[in-house]
Amino acid sequence: MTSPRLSRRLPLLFILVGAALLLCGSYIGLFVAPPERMMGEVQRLMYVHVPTAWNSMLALTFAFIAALAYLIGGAWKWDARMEAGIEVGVVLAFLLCVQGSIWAKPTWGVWWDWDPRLTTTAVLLLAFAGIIALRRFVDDPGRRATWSAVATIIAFADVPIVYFSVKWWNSLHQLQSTPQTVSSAFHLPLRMNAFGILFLMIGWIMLRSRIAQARLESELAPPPAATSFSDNAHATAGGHR
Amino acid sequence: MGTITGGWGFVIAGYALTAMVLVSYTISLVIRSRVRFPSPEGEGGAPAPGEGSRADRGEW
Amino acid sequence: MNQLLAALWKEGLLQWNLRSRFFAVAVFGTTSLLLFSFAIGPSAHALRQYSAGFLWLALLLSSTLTLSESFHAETEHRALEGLLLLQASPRALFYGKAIANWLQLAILGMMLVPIMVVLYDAGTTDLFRLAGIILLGSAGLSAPGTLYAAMVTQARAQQTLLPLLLFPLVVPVLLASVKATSLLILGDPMGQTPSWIGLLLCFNAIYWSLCGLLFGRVVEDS
Repeated sequence: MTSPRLSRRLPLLFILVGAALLLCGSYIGLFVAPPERMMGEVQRLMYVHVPTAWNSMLALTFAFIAALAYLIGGAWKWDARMEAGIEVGVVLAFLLCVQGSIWAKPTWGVWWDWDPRLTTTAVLLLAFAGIIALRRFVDDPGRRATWSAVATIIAFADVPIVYFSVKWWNSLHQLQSTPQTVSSAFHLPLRMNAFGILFLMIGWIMLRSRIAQARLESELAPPPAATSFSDNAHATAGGHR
Repeated sequence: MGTITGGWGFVIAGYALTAMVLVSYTISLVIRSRVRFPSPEGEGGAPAPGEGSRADRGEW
Repeated sequence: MNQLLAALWKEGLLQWNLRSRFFAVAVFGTTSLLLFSFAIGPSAHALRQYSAGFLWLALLLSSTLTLSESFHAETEHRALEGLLLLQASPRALFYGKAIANWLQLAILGMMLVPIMVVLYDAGTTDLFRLAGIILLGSAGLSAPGTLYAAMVTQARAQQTLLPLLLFPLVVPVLLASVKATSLLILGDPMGQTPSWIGLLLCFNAIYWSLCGLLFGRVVEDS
């Protein structure tokens, strides 16, 4: 009987561990690590920017896998997980764009520098936000699940194409580039923050899947047997999966 | 060498915004996970997320 | 294959019957081109510089009109369900519809070219390549557009959902088409056009197959 209790607490545990790691990593990144030679203090933003980037892609990849799992197997839990992955991915992608903008201003003097990775993130953000909107506009759970799974697969397949096309397009105009490598002096805070956001993300996805699952269960619930036959206003979803 | 003016301001802005987004999303998730979804008949008492939901339904 | 031909024939008849709608969309496209020029101002140099972008933006905006309408006939009398019950292959239905949308968009694009030439003083003598780019770009818009149109016709808020879903997806098509057209109009000293055409071909190859594969799932519950 402790198992349901633990599984209920598990997401919060992940979140707490993640938050702790993030606080430590950020502290080290902000106050202990030395400033970078060329960029000065602004480089410290990388300690949150890079982990956010990794984890937003991870969340969206998870959503993609869940979409495949739903289309192939048909279990509702995969729809719930996909919904969670998309929402968490969108939140992190949004954060990524904001961070990228804040980084770009002091570095390049503009709020947006059309860096291929950042631009691809912006397109991703819009594509998956669109899928969230799609889910809001479809009432039937079966259709909603199938359609958003299809849309997720299509949007995810687009990611490398968007990246390469923006990279090509951008290379003809600019020679700037965001720093690719981080020298070893900065590894520790980067890694701590990466794991910090990873744990946060896992906790978020677990919580969010649970919310989605609960809503699905209430939508798919058969009406109680006590009601009369004439009371047939609600069409319960024909989810046979 | 190579300092960028206003560096710390941007760093603080970036970290602060990050913290704000992370904290508020976490709080919103925790709040939403406590909300009970109405059953199709509009009665209260829909299963809470997590444990025992399917068992509860059998009692109807 | 027979099913595909039958679907294409059906689409041809449908489009012919609805040709007044096509002209309305063509007027919309022309108006858009005009409005873009007002946004930039009467600078001939600037207009010429961005003419390719305007052409493709106008085509993209017009595509939301044609695409969202494209399944109306099927949903009106639940014809889609009827077709599927008669064991029509969803794949044939998809490709028939997608090809019809593609041709519509391509014809629209080619109709907008003379307007572009006049308004923006932007033309090219290499019409063969221009036609090719328009064909490839329209194909890139049509495949995912047809898939989403099928979804959106059956959902609420059709007019907002289709562009919302389609536009982020076709960013590569827009980039590549605009770049390739622009290079045709303004000159291509470094020979970059083939790589953009390659990108369009790649996108089309992936999405025409992927969308055909997934279309069955989109219409199965209707």
